[in-house]
Amino acid sequence: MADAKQIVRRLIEEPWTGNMDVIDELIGSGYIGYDPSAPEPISGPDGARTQIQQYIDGFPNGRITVDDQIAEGDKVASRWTARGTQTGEVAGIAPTGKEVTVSGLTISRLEDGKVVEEWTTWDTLGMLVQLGAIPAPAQA
Amino acid sequence: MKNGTAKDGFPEAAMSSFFASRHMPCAECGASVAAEETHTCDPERVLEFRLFHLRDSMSAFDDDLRGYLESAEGRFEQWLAERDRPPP
Repeated sequence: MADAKQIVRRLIEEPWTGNMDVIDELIGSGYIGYDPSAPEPISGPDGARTQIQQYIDGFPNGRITVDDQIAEGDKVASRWTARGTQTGEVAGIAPTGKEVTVSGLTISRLEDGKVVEEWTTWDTLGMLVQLGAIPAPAQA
Repeated sequence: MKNGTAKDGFPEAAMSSFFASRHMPCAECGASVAAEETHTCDPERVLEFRLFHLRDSMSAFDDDLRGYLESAEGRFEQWLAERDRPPP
């Protein structure tokens, strides 16, 4: 399963280093992604590109690092950390210049060397607190 | 809100803990700092962070200056400066 782990790692990390081609290379045409921060399931490579691009626009210097991976059968679980400075609008929040760090978990299902289904949960609330969109405890 | 019980029955201290983030941006330089981390601001980053927040004012400076120079006060200031200009 080393290849599957590598495929998923590349898909999570490389769009943030400027390689958006990795989406067409490693995402299957019937891809469906589930993310609680997205109102609807993310559909196909184009949907994935749009979803990722909105965060890259908000955090152009952002990077995601895969910290750990577990593979079983046709699935790979990845624990990752994202870090970036918000110099663009994100979720209606005007640029703050603040750097944020959030973590997340993604379970990816692969078919024929491509990711066809993903379930992601990440610290959306933490991002909003760090950007000041939700009061931090000291301000509450 | 003070410590106690919120109207809906959730202890407020628990609510505060729930909304806490392990990382928070430094108020001075914007760097992401973990709760357990000892942080010292990089002076260059502090400057960048302050300039970032002034970016709208900086980009509007030329328009603001032009508007001022065209106002009655600005025109008078120019006239005064011209009058008081030392001879070459």
